[in-house]
Amino acid sequence: MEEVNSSDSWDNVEIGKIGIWFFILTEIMLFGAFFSSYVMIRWGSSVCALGRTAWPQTGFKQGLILALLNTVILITSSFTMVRAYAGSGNRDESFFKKYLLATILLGILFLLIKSFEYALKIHHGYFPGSSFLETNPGLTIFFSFYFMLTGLHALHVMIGVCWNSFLFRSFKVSGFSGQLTSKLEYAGIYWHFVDIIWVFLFPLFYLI
Amino acid sequence: MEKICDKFYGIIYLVLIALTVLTVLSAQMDFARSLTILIALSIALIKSSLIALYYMHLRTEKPLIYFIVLIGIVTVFILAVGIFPDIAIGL
Repeated sequence: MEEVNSSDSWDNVEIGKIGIWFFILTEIMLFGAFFSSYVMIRWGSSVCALGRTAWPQTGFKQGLILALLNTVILITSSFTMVRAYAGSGNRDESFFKKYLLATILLGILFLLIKSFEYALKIHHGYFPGSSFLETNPGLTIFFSFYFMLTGLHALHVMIGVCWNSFLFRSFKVSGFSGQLTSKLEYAGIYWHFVDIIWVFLFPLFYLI
Repeated sequence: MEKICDKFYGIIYLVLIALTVLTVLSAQMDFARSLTILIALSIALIKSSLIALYYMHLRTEKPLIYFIVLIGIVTVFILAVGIFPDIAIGL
């Protein structure tokens, strides 16, 4: 009788890993639905059609520079996260602590820059309901999508920072364990996914 | 072995930064609208694939995990394709 290959069965994969990937699946659907509707809205728009940036000239360059800086920060934090995971696997305490702390700080820096960028946008009157949009009503939907999607992404970054901080504290309290390495892997998968979302948000909102 | 892995993560990081710079530079060029969109989204797709395959370790995952990710990608594809008729009507 032919032996059944069970390499792809549920039993062979950690239950926690299946859980985090199912969570990522729901996130793909959530952001995918928003991205699809955003592309459709901009494609059919006569005011901010996709292909050229929709931002008004005033303050656009500052916004682009801040968003570019945030892109580099998030990519760097993905790199530090994967290094922290490697440090955890090797039980290298100083390596692990250094890189996990760097990931947390980079996440906080991303949020600070995002807040500063929001403040700039509000200062220029680029938000739904502002007097600027009363004279440019075609851009309202673009700004609504901008604040909704970048806000939702920022919320995910906040959750990631809290999750990583919790793991850092767990390490301080009870040191390395197989469980901590697994938890760090799940947190890493989430953190990298948050990075992937930004990889799409950046060109969609600032470049095309 | 670990040193090779660390070096590899570093190379992926540099590639991601280079692709980010390339996205910004290509958007400044005076290409046709559709070409600008195609370049920006293709680079985003390459970057996200690199992050998923190497940083999220999808490359070494079991087929079950690929299957879970595939459900999400197919669903988003159906959503996007389902919207196309609306775009065509709007043109």
